[in-house]
This record gives sequence, structure tokens and C-alpha cells, in this order.
Amino acid sequence: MDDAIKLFRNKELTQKLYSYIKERVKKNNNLRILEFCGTHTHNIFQYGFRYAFLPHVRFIAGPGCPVCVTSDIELALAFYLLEKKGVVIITYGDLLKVPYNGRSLSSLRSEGYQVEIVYSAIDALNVAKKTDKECVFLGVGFETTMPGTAALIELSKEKNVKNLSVLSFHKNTKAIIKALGNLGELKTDGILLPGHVSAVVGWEYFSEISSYSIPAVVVGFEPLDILLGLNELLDMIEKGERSIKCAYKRAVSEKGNRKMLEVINKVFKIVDCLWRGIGMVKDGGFDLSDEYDFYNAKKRFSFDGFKYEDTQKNCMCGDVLIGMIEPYECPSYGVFCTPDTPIGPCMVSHEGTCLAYYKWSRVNG
Amino acid sequence: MDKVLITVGSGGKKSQSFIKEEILSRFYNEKLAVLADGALIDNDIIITTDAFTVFPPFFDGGNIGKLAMCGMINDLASMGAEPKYMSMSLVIEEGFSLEKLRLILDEMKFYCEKFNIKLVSGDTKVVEKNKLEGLIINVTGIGKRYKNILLPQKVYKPGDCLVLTGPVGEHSIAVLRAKGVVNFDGNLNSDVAPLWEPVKALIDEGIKIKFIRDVTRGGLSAVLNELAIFANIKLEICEERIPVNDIVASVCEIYGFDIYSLACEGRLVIVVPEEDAKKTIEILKGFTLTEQSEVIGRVVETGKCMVVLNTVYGGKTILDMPLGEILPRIC
Amino acid sequence: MCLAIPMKVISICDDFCTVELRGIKKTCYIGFLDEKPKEGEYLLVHAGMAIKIINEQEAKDIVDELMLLIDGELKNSG
Repeated sequence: MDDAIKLFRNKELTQKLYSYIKERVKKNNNLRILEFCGTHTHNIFQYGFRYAFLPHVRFIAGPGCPVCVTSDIELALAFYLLEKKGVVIITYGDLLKVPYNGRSLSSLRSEGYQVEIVYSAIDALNVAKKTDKECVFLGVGFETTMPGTAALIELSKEKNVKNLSVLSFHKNTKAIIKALGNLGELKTDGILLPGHVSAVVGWEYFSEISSYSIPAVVVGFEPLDILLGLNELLDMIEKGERSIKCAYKRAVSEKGNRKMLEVINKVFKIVDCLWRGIGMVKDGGFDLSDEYDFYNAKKRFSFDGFKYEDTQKNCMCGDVLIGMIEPYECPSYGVFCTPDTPIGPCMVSHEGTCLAYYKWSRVNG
Repeated sequence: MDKVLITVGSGGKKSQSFIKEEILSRFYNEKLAVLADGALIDNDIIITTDAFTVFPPFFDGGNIGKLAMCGMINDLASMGAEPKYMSMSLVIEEGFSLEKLRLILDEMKFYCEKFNIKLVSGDTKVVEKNKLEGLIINVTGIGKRYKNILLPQKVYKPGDCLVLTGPVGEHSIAVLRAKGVVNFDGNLNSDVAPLWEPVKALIDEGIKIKFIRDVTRGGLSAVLNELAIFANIKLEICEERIPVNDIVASVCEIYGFDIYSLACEGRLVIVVPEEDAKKTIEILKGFTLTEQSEVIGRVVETGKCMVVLNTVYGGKTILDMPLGEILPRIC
Repeated sequence: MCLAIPMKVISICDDFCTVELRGIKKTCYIGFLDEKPKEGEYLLVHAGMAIKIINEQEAKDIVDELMLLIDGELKNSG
């Protein structure tokens, strides 16, 4: 039983497919393959694939880093609640160091404000039960993490937990692909789609991509998965197929997880939303449905005197996120903006393109 | 920033800059500037000091007392010094269980007897409840340079081998579990252990050791970067050669931790010339505490400061000084 | 995006099960699955929740197809 899972890390198989692809790409010229997901960006580096197929195939990193696209307004809301309303902020570790206006949840915590880290959304309930203070959970992530946030809200309702609410920063992967497609910004010959978002929503969710005449494949995360996905995409490009395929069928079905989709549709509604570095994206985010107003921190608290500052002046994260430039084309990259002194979240988040490049490509000089 | 952040204490970049900006700037002298685990004073006396603040004070595989003794013994061992004397100060939270304190002190006594270390001076303070969590133990160790060995050495050359004495991260995960940050069913003990005996054996056998450092806060990444910075050398590490504890690897995969930033308390990085590498491994494998020793990499260039990791799948990455807090992640 | 890993089902109790990965066990919520998993099956787990029962046949099939493809190529070129 173990074998079926380990196969996708098998070095011998990976090596064989690698050699096969290296041979077959020789007939291709300057193909641009967009990997949507930040974890794919890291893994493609880690497995040694990033520069392996140049000049025939070039990987371009995409906007699939939910922390990177959390906007300044969203961070400012969280900071406001901490500083002005004395709430306990409960968050995933991913968001702790993201900078806004020179500060972060981490720096606020060292100033004495209460910030608690959880591994799973439901753990937030335990935090809320231990205090009388108002607690606000930051729901960050794409569709993958939304069932967790939804479960937290439903459980809070069921157990009548009154001091917990949620700030939804959740973002819509389909919407950003549509938005980029409509803008003509999807300048790519093929797209590697996120495997774990797809496990939740199903690969059919992304079928509208075909309207942009770009082939796309849903891909897993092990070395063999990535090469299988790339190979499938190369087949589609050569045959002129413009559809969605799935190279991660062991984990992803056409329709996704029915119950997760139901709870997402029940607890959330689609809203227009600001994506950091990109701008307002139609249908780009999710907020709590009106039925759950009581658990919506935006409705529970008043935000008198709330201000935020657009701090993106020195940061080209936006252009990096849509694959328009590579990180080293940003003048701040590696000079003012490093993992130690990040200006933008692309350098902080584990899925951030700039962090991936900083970690993996400096070794080449 | 006018406040001391938690990252200053985590052994990574922020610790390093704090030491340079606040400590070295005020107290500079040649001995301090080496920033080794201890200092050589008076020809063959080595002194080292450390404070232990782990909370909770008990975790699988040990307690804060064992940590204090092993930490001190290993710091002295990194300087090639046999432990002889120690002083200790205890700062205890009011109301701390006397039974627990006795267990901790008994553990320390065990190691004093095992290594013939005499506690010659000490101090005890008690602070009001809630002004401190549990207790803090500071130990200062005095050791005698063994057989005139001088560590760390200053000259390295391409081909020098890097030895790691066992898998990394067990201590970190054991403590994170005791804190409730991670939870799982499975056997995992902290790797906390005193390593003077294997080091002594290497010296006795004439191994031309160039560098020893124990892998503590900041993990393997921190130690390798400290070496690279100290000696201004480029290191190449082969990921496949790094010994791994399956449980630690699984926890890291589930929670998204970077395994090379995780602290140990019973692992050493040792640099030896290429010609001594095989014998070094043979000697180390003769001790239970270092039986998983491996050569994990080499010095590849001098005059350039960098640590490169060749990953299992053929990628190359820079292993940077870790930034600070170990955070679980979801994305 | 998002960390999700395959973990093996050891035992099941109502809407939760115990899953295992190389020596460690954790509790996993299976209430979002349409069918109950069986012991020995693998689940795709994210933040303590099971997203899907991993289809091992699909895993084997795709690798078998891959091997046919590559071995076929080797025969043609060699």
C-alpha cells in the first residue's frame, strides 16, 4: 500500500521521466509555463527542475500565494482590532511576519498585544474558550483552507461560543485566473494548476480557462507529479488541445469534495476583493454570508477612525505575482528586500516567489 | 525598533546582529570576538556560560537540569576542554514544586558525578509568582584544554570534511510537543546528551580536529553558517547524507517546519581534514550517542562565505542563517 | 498551495480517525468525506481534515502508463 504513495518520490522513475522530457522539449521553443501555486514554485526549484529545460521551457511563477496577496487593508484591519479594540488575534503562523507599514503581527506581539498561533482553524475555539476577551480568527488562504474556517464558524455557532469572530481574507483562485485572462495577462503557453485547491473544488472548477485558449493541467507536488503534469501539458500544447486535464487523479476528482463545497457555499459569499499588488479583482474574495453576520468581525466591531496606507511604493510584488517580471527585476529584491528585512509578503511567505528565488537561485551567482 | 524581540534569543540572524551591535560593540576583545562556544583564558583554562529557560522544564527525554549540564559539557567539548568545575545560579518562580526542583537538581548531580565536575559556587534567587515561568538555570563551566588542542582552528582547505554526529531536530520537536504546539502519538525523545567522551576519544586518537560546535538554537543551518562566517569558507552539504529521524521528518512535513532550523542538544558538527574523515566516523560510531555520525559535506572553497545544500532531488539551495521563531504553517 | 499530505488510516471512530505517517499518529476529521475510509487506506490530510481518500489504483495506473511511454521510447530510440 505504501508503494503507491512513495512512487511519486521514487528517484529512479523521476530520473527516467526527467530524461524523457529533456529529450522531447528539444523541439519546443521558448515555451512559457505558468505554475500558479507558490508551493509548486518552491518544489520546482527544490527538485532541480527550474532551469533544467531552458531554453525550451521556462517556468513562470504565478499568484498562488494567499499570504502574498493579502492586502494592506486586510492587515490594517487586523492591526486595528489588536490595537484599538484589544482583541486576541488568532492566526496561522504564515501571517505572523507579513509587514505592513513597518510592523507585523510579530512585532505587535512583542509590544504586548495578544497574538496566538494555531495549526488548524478549529484550534481557535480552544483559544477563545480560555479567555473572556474577544477573539478574532484571521481566515487566510484559498479554497483549501475555507472548509476549516467554515467548520470553525459552524462549531462556534453550535457550541454557542460568543467571543469568537472571523476576518475572512480568503481569496478566489478561479477569479484571479479569469481576471488575468480577461486582461490578457495570462501570457503563457500552459498552466500548472494547484493540486490541493483542486482536491477541494474539483478540476472542473477551472474549466473556464479553456476560453482563454490555454491548456492547463492539475498537478500534485512530488517530483514525479510535477514532471507528469509538465509532460501532459507538453502533449496538449503539441496537439493544440485547449482544455483542462488532471495529472493528480489519485487526489483530485472532477467535482471535488462535495461536502466541503457545500459548506463553503453555505458559510461564504463571493465578493469583489483587493489582491495586493494586483488591484481590485471582481469576485476575487470570499466574505461570510449574511446569515453569519454575528461571526463576521467586520460586522461585530465598529472601525471608527480606521485608516490605512498604501505601502506598495518600493514593492513590485504585484508584477512578480502575475509573472510579468522575475524577482531579480525588482530593484528592491535582495538589496532592500530580503527575508530578514522584507518589504513585501512575497519575500516572507514560504510560498512567495521572491523568497523562493532568494533561497534557490542565489547559489548560481 | 526599540524593543528586544523574541527572535534575538533564537540563535539565528537576529541573535547574531544583536551580539554584534549590543555586546561586541561594548565589550570587544579578541577572545570575545571569536564568538565561539567558550573562551580560552590563561593558557589552558576554558570558560563557558549559558542560561537555560526552557518551559515546560520537563519534556520527553530530559529536563532543564539535564539540558544545563549537557549544554555546558558540550560547549566545553567544542573547545576541546575536559569539564572540571562549574558555578550555577538558579532563578526560581515562587511556588515552583520542590519535588520537581529536586528531580532537576538530582539530574544535574548525576552528570557532575559522571564527569567528575565540582560545583564550586552558586546563587539562588526566587522571584514573585508570575514574574517568571518555572525557573531559569545559568551554568558557567570551567574546563581544562585537553592535550593542548586548540579549537576552533583558523585555517581550512577545500576537501575538509564536515561530520554530523546524529539526526537533527529531536530536541526541538520534543519541546514543542511538551509545549502543546505540536501533538502526535509516537515515541520521540529529546536528543539532549553529553558528548565529551566521543570528543576525547577523537583527540586521544590523534584526529586533527579543526572545528567542533554543538548544534543548538538555530539548528544545523545556524552552525554551518557560523562556521562559514568565522572561517570565510564555502561549504557544500549533501542532503542525502544527513541522518534523519523519521518522526521528526514527518512532523516537519505535517507542520511545515524547516528541519535544518530545529534545535538539538546532543549533536555536534565536527570539521576534520579529508584524510582523517574515515577514522573519525569509525571512532564516533563506537559511542551510542554518536553512532549515527556521517560525513555530510565538505569545504569547497576558501575566501567566500556560503553554505550550499545539494537536495535529494538534484536542486541546489543556499542554506541561510535561520531568521528566528519556528512557526507552523498552513500554506 | 497549502500543505496537504497522504496519511494512512489506522482506526476510525465516528467522524474522526487516527492516521499515521512514518511513525507518528494524529487525529483527523473525516466528516467532509462522502464515504467512510477503511483501515489501511490513505487520506489526503490538510490541517487535521481529510479532503479525499487517495485512489491508489489511479496512482498505480498513471505510473504504469508512464513506464509504457518511457520504455516504448527507449525501444524506439535504442
